[in-house]
Amino acid sequence: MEPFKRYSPVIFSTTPARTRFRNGWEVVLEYEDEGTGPFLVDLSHIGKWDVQGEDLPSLRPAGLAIPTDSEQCLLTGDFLLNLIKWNWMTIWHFSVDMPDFADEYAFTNVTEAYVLLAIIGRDAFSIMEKLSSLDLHSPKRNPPFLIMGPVIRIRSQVVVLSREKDRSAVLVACPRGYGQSMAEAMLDAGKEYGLRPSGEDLFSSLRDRYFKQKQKR
Amino acid sequence: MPRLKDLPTLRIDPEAELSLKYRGRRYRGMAGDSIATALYANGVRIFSRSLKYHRPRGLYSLDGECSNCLMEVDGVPNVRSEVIRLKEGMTVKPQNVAGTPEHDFMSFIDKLDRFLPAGFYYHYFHRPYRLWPFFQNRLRNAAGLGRLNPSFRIKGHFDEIYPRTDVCVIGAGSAGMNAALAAADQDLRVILLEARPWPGGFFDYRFAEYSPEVSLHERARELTAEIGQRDNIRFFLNTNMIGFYGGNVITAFQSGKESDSFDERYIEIRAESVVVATGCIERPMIFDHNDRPGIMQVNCAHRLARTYGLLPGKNAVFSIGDDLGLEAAIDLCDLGLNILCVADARLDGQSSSLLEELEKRNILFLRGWVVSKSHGNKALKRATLCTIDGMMSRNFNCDVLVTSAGLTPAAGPLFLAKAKMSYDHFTNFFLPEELPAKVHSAGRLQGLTDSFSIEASGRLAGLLASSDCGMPVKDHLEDAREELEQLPGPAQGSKIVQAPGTGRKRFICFDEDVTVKNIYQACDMGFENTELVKRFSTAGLGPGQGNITGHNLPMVMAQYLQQQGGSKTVILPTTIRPPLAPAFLATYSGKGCIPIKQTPLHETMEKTGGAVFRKAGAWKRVRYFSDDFTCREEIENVRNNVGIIDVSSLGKFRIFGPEALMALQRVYVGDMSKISEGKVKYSAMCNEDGCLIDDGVVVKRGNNDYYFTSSSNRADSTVEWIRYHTRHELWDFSMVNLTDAFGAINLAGPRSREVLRVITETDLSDNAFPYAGYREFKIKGDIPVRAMRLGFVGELSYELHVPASYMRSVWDLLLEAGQTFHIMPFGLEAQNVLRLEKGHIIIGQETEIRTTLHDLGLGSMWHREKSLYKTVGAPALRFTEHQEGRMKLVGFKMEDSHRPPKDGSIIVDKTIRGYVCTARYSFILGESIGLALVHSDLAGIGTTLEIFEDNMGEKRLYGKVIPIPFYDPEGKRQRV
Repeated sequence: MEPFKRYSPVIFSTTPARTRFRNGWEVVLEYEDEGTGPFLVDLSHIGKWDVQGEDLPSLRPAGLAIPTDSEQCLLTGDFLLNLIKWNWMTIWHFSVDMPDFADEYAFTNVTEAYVLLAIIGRDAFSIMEKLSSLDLHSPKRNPPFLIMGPVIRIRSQVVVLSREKDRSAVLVACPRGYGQSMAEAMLDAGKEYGLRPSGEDLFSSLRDRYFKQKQKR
Repeated sequence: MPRLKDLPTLRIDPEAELSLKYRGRRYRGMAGDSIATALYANGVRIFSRSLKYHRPRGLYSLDGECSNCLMEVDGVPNVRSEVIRLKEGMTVKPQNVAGTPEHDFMSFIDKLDRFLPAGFYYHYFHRPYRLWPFFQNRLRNAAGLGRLNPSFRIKGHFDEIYPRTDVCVIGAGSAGMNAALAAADQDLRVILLEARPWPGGFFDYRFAEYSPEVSLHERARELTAEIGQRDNIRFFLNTNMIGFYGGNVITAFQSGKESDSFDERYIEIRAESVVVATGCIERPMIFDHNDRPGIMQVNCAHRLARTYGLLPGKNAVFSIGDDLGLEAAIDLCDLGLNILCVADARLDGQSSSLLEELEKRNILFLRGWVVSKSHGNKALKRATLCTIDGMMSRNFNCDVLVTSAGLTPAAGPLFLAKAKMSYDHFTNFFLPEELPAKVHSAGRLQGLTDSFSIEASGRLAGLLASSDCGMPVKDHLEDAREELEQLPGPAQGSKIVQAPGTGRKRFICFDEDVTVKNIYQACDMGFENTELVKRFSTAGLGPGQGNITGHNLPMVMAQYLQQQGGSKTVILPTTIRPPLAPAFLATYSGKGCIPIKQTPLHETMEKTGGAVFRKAGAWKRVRYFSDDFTCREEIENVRNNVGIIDVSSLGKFRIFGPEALMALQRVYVGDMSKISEGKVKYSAMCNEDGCLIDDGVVVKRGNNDYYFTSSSNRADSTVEWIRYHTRHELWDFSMVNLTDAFGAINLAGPRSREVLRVITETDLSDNAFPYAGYREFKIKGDIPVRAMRLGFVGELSYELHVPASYMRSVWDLLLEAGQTFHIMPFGLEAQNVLRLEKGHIIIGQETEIRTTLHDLGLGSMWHREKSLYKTVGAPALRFTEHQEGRMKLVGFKMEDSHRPPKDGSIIVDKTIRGYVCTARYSFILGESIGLALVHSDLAGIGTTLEIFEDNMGEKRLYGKVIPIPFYDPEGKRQRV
């Protein structure tokens, strides 16, 4: 039997050029006429976990060491670990094979709870500046890092992945119910810069690059 | 009128002509012109008529400091034509004009000023009092500037940005630019704001010497070029700062150029440190008829020529109070203006070199003289000058009178920053006694006049701001302080308050037509406080935001009160509030993005025929599924067959950890330790007053692991509520908000079990899955659901919590499975009636802020024997349980069974005794029923309720209190 279809909270009006079914989600790999950037990518389908508890510092999810400082992130090949505070973090998993944390008491699967959108490319920060007062460009912080705060007045987790000029990347996770509003606000704010919806492929290729650069450093 | 050409200070482009339409005629302006300068170039001298007396008003400050040049532009009233740039094709109209600007038939009011003293509307028209509404309407119609059609929608693109920075510098004059450069040198992020379309402040248009080889305007351009080379300075031109709030939040708005993607843009800056370098404005000279067209401030006349290439007139008289006036007279003389005389209110202190230059040009200089009166009708014809003691006078025929009593700091941002301001007798400025932390001032608003001192003060402020940002600038700071100390300090300010004379038309506030005499009248009536006089006389309450009035009002008051014998008169400034410059509401609104929550079924609902959406809290939800707003078909189908409703907006949470139960016990009134496996426990949360704030169900899913729901409106605050009420405990528990993770569907009706059976193999019999049971199973063997047997609508029903991404699939499966059972979706209104019939409450609809559990008849939910957990609201519940005189929730049915009262109707006898919370006609019961909160003595069964609806007059509706639930009181239908 074919798995039942799962739906993202975000609907773009542009036509998908290539899609792939993954765990019931119809993931758009590429849209028609994606333009030359900046790009908006819907990553709502990726696995997300909320991890809480006093024993958090001693956990090693998927064998990974948890960042030591609040609002610090750890980017690996497949995972992004975002430490909110000493006893609370979120884990985002980007690749196809979802890890199973179901038996882990401290873990709550929140894949469905949040929409996750990525703004990539030049002007990513100019677009974000129209949506949020969060200091994403603080020279005191090195990507990847996390900031919690409002984006168009919606409580969000914002991760700055890269500040490379043409490959700047910001991830925004907010409650799923606000997904469509958030995506529309981003597209509206990015209109003057040519922001267009883009498929997951673009993000995946850049993610590898970010990870490799991080490793080099 | 021909323009001056080839001046290096010009900001207009003679090659780029623009057109505008004014009073039906087309005029030409130039790129770079403001609307007002374009009109001035075309001979327009009267821009508006004044608010009260309809006096002609003309160009005065060129900075929009008063309402003289407020005009209607492209249908938008009150546009500051002095500062708004000319755009091709603008249509401009004069304001507050009855007739034409030259011939205003309301100008006779000017002769009636004797009958319009300060606060006249508090004295007249009140006796007999019944006449007041008539006059009030007339006065309100006459008051206010500009007319706006209520259906008017402003055109244009409005944008918003929220930048962060290390240092924000307000004002891009020489001090501001130096401050920005000093901070940028420390690799800090700097934002520089400038209200004008170009930087430079009072350097920009002056030809005077900065250094032997460099003039002031050249120096301004040097600094501008230097700023342009810094990547870490963001420069916002055309940007008015409007607010200054705690934490160094600066608000501003930027007017867009034609090449910009916006017409106006709201800017909200968060800065670590702020430098205020807004310079000075001119203090208006007060004399008889000081408001005639042709009278203008010094920098207005100077900039007209130097910036826009327009000589202000032919024959000019100057009456000034500082060296800038002397410099302007010399420069304008060189540019071709015939200067008849320069009267300087100061007896000494003039720059000797400037006096020599005047003499070289044979310009008559009168030391200790001041203008005392202007003459003319619609335009200036003559000026009377007199000595400051009023003993001698002379007349000059002129068409331009350039006046200034001196300078006053543009310290609005410092006032907004809550700096403590006081009057300084040397500079005659209101200066900060103390600045708030991480706020600095620089430049002319400190009283500095020397160019090098101004720049040095800017550098010092920039370094101080850098230090606020943690930069190691100690040595630089010492050097900068030393440099400033060696340069000239603040200059003595002009002492003149007003010219000799006692005329009735010496205006202290142009916006509101308030005269000095009005201020005296207010003082004579006993007002001694500047703030009160301001309100009583309305001086400074107009659109100029007190710029023209702000300094002179306290000075005039102090002078007058002292003359009247007041010995301890203190000169106090009036309070300045945001916005510092008038801004459109559309600008504040920005893009006007209002985020709305959509349920996972939103798209499905949009495609469902007849769905009518309404905003419900943060969510957009379906209220009706047809245009029959009684929802009869939807309701009857739930009672007879099966209905399906999207209830995804319910709050859903996981709470877990060794002490999760303690937290639940703290916030819920029930005993949460008694949750049986596979059962749901319905309970409620109260606030500290024992008033109901939330209800929902709790399920125990594992050891110290619970899943619970809240009402939709409380979903966003539940986690904070629990954290707040356990903040002093060291309990180990965690919470996750799963509201959006799960959608929820309520499948309700006698045939709901049959429908659900089609899509799951789980045993759904009453024994296996009884009422108030909780089960987790899979739909079609694939989709995991959390199912609860509940009865909010009073029928057999299942609340299915489904992972949000699967919701559309599950909804479709249920509709398909239910086809043979006549399944139909129902909306919020149908649910509202169904639960009303069952007597179930909705929080916020049948409760208010003072409604306790006992008032609602839900006292049995409170478990008294858990004082150990200090349940929130328990002490108040104990206190109010038997308290007399409380409002009680009652059910009622109407005498006229087909006439339910409107929700919110009041229940009366001789006074108001309560109100109807919800009332509807029940098709199932054939009655109009409702729930009401009434005084306890009306709560007895059988009591008649007298109901008053709005606009009912003497008529009344009558209902009788009956027991609730109205429908299926034994609850048999939900337990089948």
